[in-house]
Amino acid sequence: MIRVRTLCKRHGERRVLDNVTADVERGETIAIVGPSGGGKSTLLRCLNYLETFDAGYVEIAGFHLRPKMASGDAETLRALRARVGMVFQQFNLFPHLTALENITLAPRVVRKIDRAAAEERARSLLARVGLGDRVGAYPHELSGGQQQRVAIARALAQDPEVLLFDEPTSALDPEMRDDVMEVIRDLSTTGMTMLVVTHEMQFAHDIASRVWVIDQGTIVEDGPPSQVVDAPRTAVAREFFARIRR
Amino acid sequence: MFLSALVPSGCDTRTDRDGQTLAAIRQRGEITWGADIQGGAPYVYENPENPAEIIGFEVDIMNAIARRLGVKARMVQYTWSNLVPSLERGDFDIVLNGLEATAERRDRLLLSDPYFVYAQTLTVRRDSPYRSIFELAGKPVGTLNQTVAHDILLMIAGIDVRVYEGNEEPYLDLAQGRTEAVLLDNIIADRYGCPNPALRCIPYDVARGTYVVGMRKGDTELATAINAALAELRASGELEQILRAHGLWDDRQVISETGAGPARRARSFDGEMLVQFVEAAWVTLQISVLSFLLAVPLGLLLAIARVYGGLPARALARGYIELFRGTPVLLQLFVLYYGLADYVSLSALEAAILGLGLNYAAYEAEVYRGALLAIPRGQTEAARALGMSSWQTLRHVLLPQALRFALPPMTNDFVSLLKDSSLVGVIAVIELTKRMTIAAVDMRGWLVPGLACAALYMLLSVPLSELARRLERRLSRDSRPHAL
Repeated sequence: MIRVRTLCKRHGERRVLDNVTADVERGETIAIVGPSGGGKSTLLRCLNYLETFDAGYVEIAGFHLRPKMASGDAETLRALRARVGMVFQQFNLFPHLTALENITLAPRVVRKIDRAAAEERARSLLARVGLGDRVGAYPHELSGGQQQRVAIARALAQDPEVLLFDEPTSALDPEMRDDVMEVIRDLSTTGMTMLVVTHEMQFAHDIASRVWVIDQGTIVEDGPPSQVVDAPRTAVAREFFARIRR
Repeated sequence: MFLSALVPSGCDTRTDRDGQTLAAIRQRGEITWGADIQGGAPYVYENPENPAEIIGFEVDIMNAIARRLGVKARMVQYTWSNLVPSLERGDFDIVLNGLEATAERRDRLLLSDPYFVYAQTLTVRRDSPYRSIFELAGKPVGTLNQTVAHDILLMIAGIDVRVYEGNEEPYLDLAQGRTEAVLLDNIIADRYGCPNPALRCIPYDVARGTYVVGMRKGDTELATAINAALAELRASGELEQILRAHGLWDDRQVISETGAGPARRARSFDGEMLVQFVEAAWVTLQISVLSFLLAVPLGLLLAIARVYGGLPARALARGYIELFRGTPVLLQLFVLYYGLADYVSLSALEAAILGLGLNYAAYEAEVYRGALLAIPRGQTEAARALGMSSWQTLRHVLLPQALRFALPPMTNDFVSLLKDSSLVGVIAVIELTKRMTIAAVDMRGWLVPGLACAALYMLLSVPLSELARRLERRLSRDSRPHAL
């Protein structure tokens, strides 16, 4: 489903991504962990080309991404993004639209789905994330956890093959995180391919088929949680897990 | 070009008992006279070769009078429309500056014998069939605001009077075909109208009038002395010499009997005037709404170009904004209406709407730019991550949110535009403020027309603010003010 080959990205002299190579199979859930500033979010954002990269190659959901794709590729990128959903740390709901309108907007304008069909689908998605009764609510009327669940429903409405989660619970109060994690956990059982950047180790342990530890722009460990989280091989990973558990 | 003076109601007129003014002049060895160099050549103006020196035929006449009184003359600069009230207040001894002998002035001031006879000259285009103002019913005729010529035109039924502020503009519009004739003093016509090869001055005077020296009522001894001096100037041929030197001598000067000019009674604020005010308010509203309807989309386009455009689009938008924001809107209106008249012939109303619209677009652009920049970056990312194109993102995500930020400043701008529309009075559009100044002259007072004008502006702006307030409340359901 995803093939990443020798991906490199620099900010000036600093290597944000340094020769990242990885594969993800359909239906896998990858938890991406590691120290702040290690390149986790950057890697995720390169996968739907919200950020460009300097060298390397990405193949995702049948699309081929190269460095410095020009505006001529805008059509390809739009098609790609309709197949690869993203959920942000800050939710980024559209504040002028209701929960329902947030979800129906992209299907209607990008995929030209008619209003009735889009709304019917949006209602069922809202019900699925436990917000069937908040259809007409504006984002400011919802709690952080509810907003993030609407954001997940918004991403799902495009029927993506891959879902990217960029620290989906970091901006939430602890008591709100469980609801969101519950939704993501459910999704992982449906066969959706997912990459989740997170600091929640227990969560990562529970839902991930594999865990990547990223530090200084490279994947330093890649394996099932039982191996990576419980018995890390590298010093970097050991130190990171020790610090998190403290 | 000279305004019928405005009389503040209840003014007190100082009286000179027993020739005190003349005695004081003799004692000081100096007579002070009020004039306005803004009136320009040939009256009283700065010598172009030596701006410190004030010259003009009235300067020469004044000096000749002073010589005969045995004193020196000193000019005091005042705005022309304030000369009469300032004379009455005692700021100087006499007025000698294109003061027309009208019945209304005679009631208020002591007027000397004339020192100059002027005529009202009708100017038409060279190929025009018109010979007389009486043939011009229903046709647009230009003149200057608050002149005797203006009064004459208003007395002829059916003439569509266009009032201007400067000497040049009435003739420019006549040459352009925007008016059919211009009626003004021959002094102005001879300088600004008749030399234009496209125009022709009708050789028959429409009316004649005289320039006289104005003095305070009661200064009878001074008046006697000045009339004696003028009679000597005339008899000795010195007056003719002075007028010839300034190219002003003509046959009219030997005929001493002229009419007192049209005497218009002061109007009151009657139904007819109310209708005129409401019509002017309608013009103001039209200009404001239409120019805003032009400014909003153009401003939006400029803002989008400036925020999201490539380098050429950004530079172009920036240049436009700096140009229109950095120069006075008055200048832009002049250029649009007069400067480009040879290339695009716009009616005054069109020029007003276009001028204000183009100008306000620059301000709107900056409002929208600020609003677009105030939207968090995550909004664009979320839209892009959903596969929306740049246009779709702009249309469905950014613009609706920008509108909420922009609405309060936009309301501000529209109310401001409503009032700025008074600037288009300079290109012969009679809108609310212009109507007020005209009415103030007709009514000999500013208070009532001023209040009427203010009330109408409020009547236009307050409902608008209310409308904007409601819209704002509807749009910003999620951004109610937080308690402090």
